[in-house]
Amino acid sequence: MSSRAQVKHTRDRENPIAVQLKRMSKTYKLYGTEHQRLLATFFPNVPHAKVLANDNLSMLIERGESVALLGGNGAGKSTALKIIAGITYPDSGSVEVNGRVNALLNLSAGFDAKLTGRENLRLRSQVQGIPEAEFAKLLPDIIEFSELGVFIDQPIRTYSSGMKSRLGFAYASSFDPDILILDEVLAVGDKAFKSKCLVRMKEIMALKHITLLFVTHDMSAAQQFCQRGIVLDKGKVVFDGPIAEAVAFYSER
Amino acid sequence: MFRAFLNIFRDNWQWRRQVWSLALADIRKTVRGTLLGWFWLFAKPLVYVVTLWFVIDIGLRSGHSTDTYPFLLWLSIGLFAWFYMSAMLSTGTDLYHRYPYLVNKLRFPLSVISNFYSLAQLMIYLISMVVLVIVMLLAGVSLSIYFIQLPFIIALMYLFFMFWSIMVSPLSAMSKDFSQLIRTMNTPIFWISGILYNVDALQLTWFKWIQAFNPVYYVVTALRAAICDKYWLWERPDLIIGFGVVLCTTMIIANWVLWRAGRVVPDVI
Ligand SMILES: Nc1ncnc2c1ncn2[C@@H]1O[C@H](COP(=O)(O)OP(=O)(O)OP(=O)(O)O)[C@@H](O)[C@H]1O
Ligand SMILES: [Mg+2]
Repeated sequence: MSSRAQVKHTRDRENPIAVQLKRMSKTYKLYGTEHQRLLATFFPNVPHAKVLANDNLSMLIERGESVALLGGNGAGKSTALKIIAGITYPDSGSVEVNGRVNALLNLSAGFDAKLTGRENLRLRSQVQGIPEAEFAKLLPDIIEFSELGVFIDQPIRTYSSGMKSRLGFAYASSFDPDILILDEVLAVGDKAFKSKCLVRMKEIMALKHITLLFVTHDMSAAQQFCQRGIVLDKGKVVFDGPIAEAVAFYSER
Repeated sequence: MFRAFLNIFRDNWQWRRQVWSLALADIRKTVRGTLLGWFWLFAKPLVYVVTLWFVIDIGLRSGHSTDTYPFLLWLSIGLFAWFYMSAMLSTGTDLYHRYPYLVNKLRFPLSVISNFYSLAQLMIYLISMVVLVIVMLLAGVSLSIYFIQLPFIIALMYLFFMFWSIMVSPLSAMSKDFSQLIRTMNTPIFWISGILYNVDALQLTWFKWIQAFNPVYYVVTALRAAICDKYWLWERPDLIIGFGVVLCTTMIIANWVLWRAGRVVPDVI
């Protein structure tokens, strides 16, 4: 029991430590069939393959830092971000996150397909415990930024994937989070929207207290927004330092 | 393990505002799309009740109205509760596939999903019960002191089915066969639990043994005790002890499943 990974999320936005991982590891277990996975709940020695997605990650991210996570496909970037966002759990080590987190993890952003854009925004802000007044104040801005027009009152299932990511980005970037987590969010927007996002991100980053965790395969965007780069390979940290050096390190491999 | 148990209650307390708003959103999702959404929500069960009443009471002449209450009332109490319970026994067993984005896109405690879905279903149930009581009073059937047991019974029913959902949803998330199995049991449970007929009158030993483990039977019997049959629950210690054992066992297993499997759920949805 004591070997369980420790995960701690607080709302303490004054804490100088925004995110701290200590020897954090995450393994995905792969089973041949669904039954085997079900059985494994009761009998731990059901045979399975293991994927070590995060291998003993340690990092300390201070308040206000902006950090790019770099690495090839399958390096474990998304897994690490999900763990920091409190969505999935590590097997061992510890995770500490201080402050309100807004995470935009890949494109679909997890909207309810049956509800309209507006209803989804409200639901999401309620789930995250954002006060009704704050939501009402920011809603017009979110709608305007997403440029969805009449579609804001249509169910999400009628949206294209670009439209979903517009809505997701508009939301995630509006609520003045303490920690903003963006995982390849610029990948599907068209050119015009992408440059709009970049402008918005610059605005956000001008605010001193925001901590950014950014995953992208676009090295120029990484260098534009981040001062620090962490390179992952096969779940391990292989480089941690200034962004220019991190990009150089990553490109040489 | 005991800490995990407290965690369930702590999470649900901390997220109580979300429980409320998500329950409302769940209902809104069910009624949307049709102009008369709210109407259909209650029309369907009503037609169901009236049809069964007609078949059993008028058609087969095997309803058992007494001097103090009509068979229709007795039947409605069972069926309304069944609509709640059958929602928990079908959709409620596989909630993480209904709300994947709460599981793998946002930080949200799994047990709270069971809570708000259960609350959404309960609200529909409570509305139909209020209507039933009003109709009953208008029809001249009187309430009695035993009626005050009702909130207590409903609260226990809620507690049981919330933990039921916490217990089986992680397993359904892993295996579709498992959720199919539970859904398949829905119909037999309906027929054996005495929702349409009085199972206490059946003198079969093995049947009594099944009922001893059947929460649906306990709930329906207790609800009818409070409104129709008019006795205090402690006059039937077998009911109290039986349900208590079933409830505690379910809560313990639910806690254990959540502890063992909860952290894996976001990876498999
Ligand atoms: N839910 C899951 N179940 C099983 N294995 C998984 C799951 N999610 C990720 N993995 C595995 O974990 C490893 C790390 O995946 P991850 O998504 O973190 O990579 P990434 O660095 O984000 O890659 P990309 O650049 O392609 O997005 C991969 O080998 C992947 O196959
Ligand atoms: Mg990724």
